[in-house]
Amino acid sequence: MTSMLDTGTSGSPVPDGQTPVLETRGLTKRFGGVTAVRGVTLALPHAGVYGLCGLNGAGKSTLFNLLAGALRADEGTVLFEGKDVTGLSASKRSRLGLSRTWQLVHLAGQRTVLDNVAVACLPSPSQSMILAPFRTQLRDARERARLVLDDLGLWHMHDRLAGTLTLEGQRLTELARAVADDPKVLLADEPASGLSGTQRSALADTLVHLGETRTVMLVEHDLDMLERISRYLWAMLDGGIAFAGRPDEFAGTHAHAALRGIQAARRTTDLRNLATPADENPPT
Amino acid sequence: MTAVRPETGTGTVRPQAAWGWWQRLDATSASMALGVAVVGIVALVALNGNYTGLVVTTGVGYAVVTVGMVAQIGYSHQLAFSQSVFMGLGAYGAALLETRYNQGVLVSMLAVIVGAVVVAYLIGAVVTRAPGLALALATLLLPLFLYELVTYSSYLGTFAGISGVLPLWSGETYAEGMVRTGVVAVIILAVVVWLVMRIMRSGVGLQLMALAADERLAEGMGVNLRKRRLGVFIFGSVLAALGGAIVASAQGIVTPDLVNESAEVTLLIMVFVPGRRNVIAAIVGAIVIEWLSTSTEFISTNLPTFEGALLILVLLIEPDGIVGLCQRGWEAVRRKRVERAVAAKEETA
Repeated sequence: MTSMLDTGTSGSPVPDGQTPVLETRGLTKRFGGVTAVRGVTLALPHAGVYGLCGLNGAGKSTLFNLLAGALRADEGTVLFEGKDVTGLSASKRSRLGLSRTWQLVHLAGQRTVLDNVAVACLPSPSQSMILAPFRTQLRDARERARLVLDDLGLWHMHDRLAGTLTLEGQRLTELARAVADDPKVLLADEPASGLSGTQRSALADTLVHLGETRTVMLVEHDLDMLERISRYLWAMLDGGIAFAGRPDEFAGTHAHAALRGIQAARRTTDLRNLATPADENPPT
Repeated sequence: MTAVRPETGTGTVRPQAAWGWWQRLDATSASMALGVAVVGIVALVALNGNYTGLVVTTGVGYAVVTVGMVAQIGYSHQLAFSQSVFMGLGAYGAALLETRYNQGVLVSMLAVIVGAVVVAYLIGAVVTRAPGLALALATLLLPLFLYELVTYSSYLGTFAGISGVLPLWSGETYAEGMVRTGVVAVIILAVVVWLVMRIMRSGVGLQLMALAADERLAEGMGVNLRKRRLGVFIFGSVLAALGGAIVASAQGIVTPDLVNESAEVTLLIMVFVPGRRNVIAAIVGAIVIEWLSTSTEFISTNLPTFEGALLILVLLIEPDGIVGLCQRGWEAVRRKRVERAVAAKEETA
């Protein structure tokens, strides 16, 4: 809740005088009588990895959906490079340079990795169907996809069917597709979920690499990973921002204690005793 | 670094003029279209305008519809129950223009295409707002509405329908006219095959693939959902109208049977049983089902029962139909071969 907000001494991550690449002001979303996101205000600067953590049901994924345009906010505004995009659809936000990945992998399993990435590389995504047989754009899209896969070190699996990949391969393919169009902001929703320690470490390196040239906002339950690679951190509790500050300021806060406490309990007790309603796929 | 697989799979051969032209058409799509044209024309000429030739030509008309359904339903997962409606629109449109307004075949065909675009746009603008299953439900009542309309309207011939529809290309004898009509129908089908293959192998095809995989995903990647849904709806509807006009021309008559309640189900079976994602399977399915419906009295009477049972069986066992089953079988054989080869290698080692 906002009344319990802990803030670090570092203030906003956006340098003075710089327009945030992505900003929210008083963002609120309700589902019936439940307020999933309440009055969230945050700002992201250009480039770098930024973390968002919280318990299940804290509103992280709902906030992501509001940022990406998959859900419409009941109150508040979303600004992209200073422009109000609150009313824009997800496809329009994507074309502006706002890309995302999902908690659950979404790939076309019967197509190759190359084609799954190429779909995000079309020079004219709104081309008419009438013109499609005469100017397919496929060659250009696949060439761009090749460069992206090469940059992420994934070219070796370009001709594999996406459905035959391991979870790690699928998550990396999704990540490649999300950055294929060179977005200014990447919203990555629990990309490390289901991965082993080694795979998480490799993924963290990839995210840091991607964050060198764009803003990466990362939702993750793995606090160690978040604290290691994030320049700035927000923690959500009950739909509101409970902490905003540098990762080194996070320890000792109310939100940190709550999150770490749950993580420790999860490691030692039966998870079923602690199960809380998941907010990850709210009714739409 | 490995080179990107070329779109046409033609490698680095230096193209001569004809080869370059072939490449521009996309060798795979053009080969398939050419194959359809050659096989179809040879078969129709060999049948020499007999009854089976009429059945095949009618089947080709249905195939134009089912190939469109491959793009719309099989590939893009935009399930809509409006194909029989647009078939009826095409058939009745051509019949009316030719018999009541004395228009030629070319004019009536062009008018049918333009009319189908307009009607599909008007209907699609409303129904394609609904995603997934809601789209199917939104179109569910259209065939019932059209059937009621054609059976009660004297202008549309009520139960007797409209006779005297012109062949696509008339000849000096009935048989010659039938062969010529069949040849024109096959050429139209070949062009449709090329168009559908090209779209599926294009950037728009990739977007339709994403649409089929997950609409939220597609939208998140910048795909304009409404535009793509509407586009593929209009495309499938226009092909359905074109197919309907061909069927009417082949048979010389259009009756309400073309749009009755089982017509839509028959179309779905023509696509789903052989393989909803395969253009050739959709053509074979259309011709075989059309042939079965006229083969013997027992089969034609009980065909809806067989079709229903077959559709349920296919959807339960393999949603990709007979083609999907064959692919699964082939994959299993290949996997076994690899396992045997590995085992043999280990034994030798």
